[in-house]
Amino acid sequence: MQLSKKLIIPAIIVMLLGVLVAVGPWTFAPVCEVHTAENPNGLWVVTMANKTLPMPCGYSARAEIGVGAGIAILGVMVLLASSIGIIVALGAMGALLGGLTIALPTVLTKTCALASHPCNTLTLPVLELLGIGLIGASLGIIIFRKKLKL
Amino acid sequence: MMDNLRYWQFIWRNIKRRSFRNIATILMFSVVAGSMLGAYFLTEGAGNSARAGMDRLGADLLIVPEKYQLETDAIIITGKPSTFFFNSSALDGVISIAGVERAAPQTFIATLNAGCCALPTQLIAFNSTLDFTIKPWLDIELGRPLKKDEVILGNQIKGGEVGQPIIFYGHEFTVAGILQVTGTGVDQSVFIQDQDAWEMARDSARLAWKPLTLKPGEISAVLVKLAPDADAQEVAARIIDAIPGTSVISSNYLARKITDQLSSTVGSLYLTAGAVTVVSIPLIATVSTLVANERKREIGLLRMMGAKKGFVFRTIISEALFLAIIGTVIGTIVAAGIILIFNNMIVIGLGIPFLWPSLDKMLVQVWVVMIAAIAISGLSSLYPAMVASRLDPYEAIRDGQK
Repeated sequence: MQLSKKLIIPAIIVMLLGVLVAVGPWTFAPVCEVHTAENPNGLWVVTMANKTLPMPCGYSARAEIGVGAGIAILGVMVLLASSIGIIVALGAMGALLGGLTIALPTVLTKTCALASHPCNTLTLPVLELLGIGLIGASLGIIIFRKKLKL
Repeated sequence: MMDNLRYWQFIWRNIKRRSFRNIATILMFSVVAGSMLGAYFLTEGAGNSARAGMDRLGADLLIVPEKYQLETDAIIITGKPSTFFFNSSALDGVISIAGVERAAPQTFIATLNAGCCALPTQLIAFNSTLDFTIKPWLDIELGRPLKKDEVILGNQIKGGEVGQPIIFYGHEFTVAGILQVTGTGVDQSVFIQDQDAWEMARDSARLAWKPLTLKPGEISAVLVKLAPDADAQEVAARIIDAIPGTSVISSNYLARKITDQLSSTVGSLYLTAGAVTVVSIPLIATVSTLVANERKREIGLLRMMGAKKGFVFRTIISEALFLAIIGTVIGTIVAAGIILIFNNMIVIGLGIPFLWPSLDKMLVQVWVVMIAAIAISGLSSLYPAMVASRLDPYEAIRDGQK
């Protein structure tokens, strides 16, 4: 399998963004249920039946693990791309995954209702920035496809 | 000599040829524009939000006992929930004070575990007979009075949809409506009728894991609507004289408080913009001079081919203006983007409310910053442009070849 040296940097950027999307909500930009110094007990929804459930942000964080893994795999595929057509297709897929990274906490599974919750003050902006970064990187791959070819 | 499109292509190609230097210049203008606009967006957004919050409360003045003023400020500005009550008889004389047209009590109750979320939420109980703040909204948006156990949610309480049940202190309420966004603590509040609040407090002993002690006649604040010709400051002074131990909160007071809280952040942003501006003028002049010197041969050739002095002058100035415009646009996008994305973190971190200023106000400010950037770049490149345009073509080609 032939690797293009020119694709190494974009591929590493995409892989890195994927890892950050997957681990961010559980580590450096934690959602409400993660125990931190500011939020030592974690925040959960307690139902009338006394059942403890994750809040919406918890579901977003779980979904972002899958999306992040997908982005990281996409980064590996960028590294192995063998034609301009494949590079463009991977770039388009990257942009879509960037959109999904943003859509999960904002539109699909969402975050908690209150602006003061940790997921809204840190997790959401970090995921939005990572999503924007991935869309930018993916569009860059598409725009500079000719310079990136083997 | 050239039509407009080709002229701008010519300028763009000149800029691309010296990309590193020009990116540095663009970055400088981005920092100036971003800092100035960031400071403007924050101050105007916070002021805008304070006005919207008081408008939503529908009162000209809010009277609270002096010892609870900080808690009340926090409820309105950032939505930090509090519970405090006092006997309403302490404020009985409010309605008789000159300049006061209407007065209505409200009760502030912080919830324990709301059904929608795990952090306390602010319940604001209003008097269904005397209220003049929620009822006008109900008339317009709902077209009917609030029924028993119905609540109105602030814009950020998204746990419940209209018609859905929502539970506080074990008492089940129904969401009747959702208020418009204000950017203040009002967005994180839930409005209920005082009779429902008393019933909720009574039932909380058996339904909630921590009971709420609230009796009829206990209130947290009195909202005041002024007579049409009354002056807010004069009436506030009369209230404080008539009822010792009270504090009067007005939208002007809130705006002042928010401005004070913002002063160090805004000051740092303006200081950054000022410092970069002071440095940028000689720097752009030096860069333009360097560019003009480097391009002596090119300028000489252009002159030999018939380009007039004015064309050379315009080219140098246009390149500098082009960089200023690109830098300002990037600075505007970055400043707006940072505030948009980190809105919640900024609001919580600085303890201010935030509601975006209107688009026309923002566009005016962007124009002001862009004109300032254009003026800085135009002034800085004026002298190099004059020197370059006065070069003798033959001498310029000969010097440029050295």
